[in-house]
Amino acid sequence: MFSKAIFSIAIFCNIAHAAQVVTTLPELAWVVKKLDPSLTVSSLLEGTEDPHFVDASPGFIFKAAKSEILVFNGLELEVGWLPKVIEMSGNKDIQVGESGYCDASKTVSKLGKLETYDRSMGDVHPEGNPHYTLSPKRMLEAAKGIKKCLEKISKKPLLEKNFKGLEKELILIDKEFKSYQLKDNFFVYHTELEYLEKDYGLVFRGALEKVPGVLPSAGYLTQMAIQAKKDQPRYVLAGATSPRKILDKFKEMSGVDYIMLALHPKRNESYTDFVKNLMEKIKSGK
Amino acid sequence: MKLILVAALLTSFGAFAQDKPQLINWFAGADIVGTTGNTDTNIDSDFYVREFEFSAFSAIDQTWNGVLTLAYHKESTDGEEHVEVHEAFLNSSKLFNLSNVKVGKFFLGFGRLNRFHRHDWVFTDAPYVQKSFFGTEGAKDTGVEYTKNLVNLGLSTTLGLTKGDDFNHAEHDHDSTTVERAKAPTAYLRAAKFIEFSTLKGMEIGLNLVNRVDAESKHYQYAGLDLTYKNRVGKVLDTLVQAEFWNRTTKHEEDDETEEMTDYGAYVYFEKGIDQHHAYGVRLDYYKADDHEEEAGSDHDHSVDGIEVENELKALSLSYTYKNSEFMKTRLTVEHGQGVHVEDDEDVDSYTKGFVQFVFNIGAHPAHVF
Repeated sequence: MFSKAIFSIAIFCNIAHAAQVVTTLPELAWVVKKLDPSLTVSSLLEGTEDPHFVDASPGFIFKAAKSEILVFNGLELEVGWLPKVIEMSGNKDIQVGESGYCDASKTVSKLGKLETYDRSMGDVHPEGNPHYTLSPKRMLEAAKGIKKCLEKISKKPLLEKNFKGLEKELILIDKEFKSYQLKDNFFVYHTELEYLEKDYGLVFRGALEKVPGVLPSAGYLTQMAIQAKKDQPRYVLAGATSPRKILDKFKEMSGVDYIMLALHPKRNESYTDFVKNLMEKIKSGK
Repeated sequence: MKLILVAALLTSFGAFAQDKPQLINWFAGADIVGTTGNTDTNIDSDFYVREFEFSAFSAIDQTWNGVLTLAYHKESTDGEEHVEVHEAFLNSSKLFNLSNVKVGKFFLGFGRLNRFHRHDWVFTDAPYVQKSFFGTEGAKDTGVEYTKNLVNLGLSTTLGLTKGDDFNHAEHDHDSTTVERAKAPTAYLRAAKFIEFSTLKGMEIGLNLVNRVDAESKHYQYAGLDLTYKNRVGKVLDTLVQAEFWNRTTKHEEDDETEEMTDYGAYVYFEKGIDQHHAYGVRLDYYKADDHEEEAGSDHDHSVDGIEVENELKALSLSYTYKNSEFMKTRLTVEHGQGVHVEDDEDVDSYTKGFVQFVFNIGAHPAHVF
């Protein structure tokens, strides 16, 4: 009778529920689930958004309010909305500096750090390019940091064991990516593919955005179209939320086609499948 | 002199580009407005700095954050210039679970417009109901505010208690060294429900109640509904619908007689984003003054910017916004209103005014909820 009562109270108070981890991006949720499959994990974003341009919606605030750990990309990718989500969640555990505040970029070797900068340079990230999750090599570095954060709620031996499995999986996909030999010339719309250039040998000859985050002028597009005729890039690689109108206009001017790439997996999509699709799309252009 | 001091403060500190954890964040923003109106009304043509705000915010210690904001204002072409403490408050998300506590001077957390600084509004000039009930910029005061997330119900509730002396910005004479004390504290409640259609599409509905007694023992009760719908497509805010509906009951007892009046009003704003730089907006305003005010010879004043609603105001605004970047906007607006009484001219019952507005900010601008 007594134990039944305790059990009922435990259910009522949600004590019996598994620990909650909330991530901003689906690929970070995938890492958490790999490290400890027993955890309840959800990502705030679906993977189809541009993470720079979302609102600090009350929906996110409520999800963050229930979490024990919040894992985010960092390097200011979510700076426009996440600080408010954290503050207004009223969740003590995930406030800045607390044990549930998990910046996945801490353990990542960053590219594109800026010594000096101001806003005339457009949407730049002085602490480094935030799009490291496109590279399996950097995802492995991020996973090391996430593993450390999860020690708060998961057993260390389990995390170590599962990390080894994850490491193997990511090394395998990294090798596969390298084997694709994607060393052709490309143009990019924005600079989010820097890690692919460094880690997998893609060569980017130019960017259609003169200033990051600002729509290019007709004059600049003409200049880039002239350059494209010299450089003969295979395609323009663009993130899925890039403006199609500009890309169509450039195609018309230069004859160079473009490929729209998903920059994040969708919720519940495996990260390795996402990377394979990315490689395949860059290689085939379809 | 005060302005020079603010400017000197600004130039003596470096600014940072983002709102991120660091020792201190600095922010400065300006709102520059050009106005013109049809010649029948007394709206002057002018071009002036309406507001300049300078703010510092950061963690104070392991528990509290602090926000300090100084602002320069000039509310109309012939309005006085003044510098004031806009906000000075402590807030913490670490005191009580799922809660946020604010102590100090701040914009009161009810409605939609009132929770945002004017430079972040989606239009240049406040709707008539906002100006009349809460001032040209919004109601602010000194007190305590507590917000609790009722996670299982998906509700966010805000309770506030402030001393009531400084409510409607337009009511005060800024040169005065004394402030008349309110007869009772101001209390307010907001309960908001968010409906998520997707991560980029959602709607928030807020119910608001405000109770206030001013220095002349006038008792005001406000009830309001605010609604915001947003749909983002990629980098563009494709659709925005923002609306507020407010009702105010005023009771005033004098010489054993009780005067009771009810005014109400609303606005509905619709904005369509074309791309990340261009957006068009339409706003409809409505305001209904109490029928008995004229007959009773009431001193109940709802003259705003030299325009007084005779009985019923209907106004339409059309706007175009050019977002040069996240940090700078240029906006053109034309507004036409009917059902007004213009001071000094009995024959005029409508007005047309135009605005050009430049808003920019430098430094670390804090994010907003939805």
